[in-house]
Amino acid sequence: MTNLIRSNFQDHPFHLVSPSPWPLNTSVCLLNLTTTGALSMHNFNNIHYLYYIALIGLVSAMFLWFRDIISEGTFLGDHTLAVQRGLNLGIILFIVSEALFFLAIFWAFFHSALTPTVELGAQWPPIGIEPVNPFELPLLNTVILLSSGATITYAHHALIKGEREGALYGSIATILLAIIFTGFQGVEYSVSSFTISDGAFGTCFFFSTGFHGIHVIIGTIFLAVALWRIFAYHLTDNHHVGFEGGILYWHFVDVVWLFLYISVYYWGS
Amino acid sequence: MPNSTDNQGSAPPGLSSRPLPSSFDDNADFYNENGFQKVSRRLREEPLIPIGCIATVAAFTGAYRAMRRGDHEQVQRMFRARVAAQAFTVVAMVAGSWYYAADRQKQKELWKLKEQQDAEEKRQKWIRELEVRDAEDKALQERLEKRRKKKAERDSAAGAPDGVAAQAQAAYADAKEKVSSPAGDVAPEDPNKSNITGVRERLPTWLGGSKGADGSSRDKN
Repeated sequence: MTNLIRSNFQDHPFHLVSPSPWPLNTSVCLLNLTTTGALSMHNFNNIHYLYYIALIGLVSAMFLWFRDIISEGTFLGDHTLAVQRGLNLGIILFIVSEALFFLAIFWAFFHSALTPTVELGAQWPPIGIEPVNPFELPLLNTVILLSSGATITYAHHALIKGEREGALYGSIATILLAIIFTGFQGVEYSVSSFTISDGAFGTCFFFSTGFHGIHVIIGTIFLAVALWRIFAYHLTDNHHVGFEGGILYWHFVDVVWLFLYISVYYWGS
Repeated sequence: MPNSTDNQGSAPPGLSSRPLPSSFDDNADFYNENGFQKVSRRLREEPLIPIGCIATVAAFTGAYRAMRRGDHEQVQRMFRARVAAQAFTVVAMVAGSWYYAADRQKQKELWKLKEQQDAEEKRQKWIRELEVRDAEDKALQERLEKRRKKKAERDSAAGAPDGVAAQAQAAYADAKEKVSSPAGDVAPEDPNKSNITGVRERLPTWLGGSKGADGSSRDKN
């Protein structure tokens, strides 16, 4: 066997990727995004056009990169068990970094809420703030998100049992519930009596719930891609790393909501 | 926030009869508790919530560990456990808030009552201040009137002076009197209350600086 022929067969369980432009492309886009984002927050003229260009560039690079990964995993058969373990490791590193990100947000919240300064009236919620009643819309949202956790668990159950319809309907129900949740959060934001500029309370409230909302949207996209891949027969009952990663991410977002609901909505009001 | 249920039974029947109604008059810890105490009090009040949270996180990490092993059945079980644990936590929270509802409602009313009392006290103080000012003003006017009368009597007794020079002299004396009288001559009715100029100096603070006054009254809360 010549080296040329051998290079077509990888006699090891790992995936040695072919040269790809996306890591470099993504790095450049990310640097542009942070730089132009910081500048536009400091009111530099017209810099937000560059920000949008960087954002479009980043989303396109992600799209094309993920497309490559799907073709490698689904059509080229490069995702062996060892590669799947590596991908799983990547998912958990991502989720851990997200968890620490939310830890910082909770830190900011508890720093202000547990020992409220005299400027806030030495009380939390601060004087003059009318917090959202946790047992109105937020409780409904909690139930909706919890139900979406149940439906996505059903979809996972159906997939590993090889029931295509259950997996599809479970995922569709989850995505619908996620969209309803996001819509209700939008309603809550539009009717809230305070804004993000209303002192430590407004800042912490919209900082935490806003970033959670962004994560819900990302998770919805994650699951929507998985839904399409189930529909397109990409996923099997024992090889569905993307779907399981999406479900794990969804459960993570739901757990974050539980902590948000307890500390920001319930105990913090 | 009430400390525990034991306050519920010993609630006084007539709240307004007490000088400063609070269930925590004899509980200095309530007013001085730090962040850690606040958290631990919450956790002790509703212990099911932290238990549910820990169970939820445990199920979530269990799901990841099973996923790493490739054990999809166990992943499924852990996902179910996660949903169940979270549902338990939410139910515990709703039940807890229902259980403490009366306590918390009472506490809220006490806060409101105290706030109203503070506001009323401030209003009374302001009314007293205005009354003192009014009295000072009236006294001043009275004295001026008296002087004017006395002078008119004196003038008429001495015989009305004629000529422009005499009239000018009279007007000058009058003006001089007006200028010198307010500050020094009026004796304040109440030694605690300042005279007119003192009040005027404070006036901008009273009207514009209500923030400081609010802050100081709220600090006591």
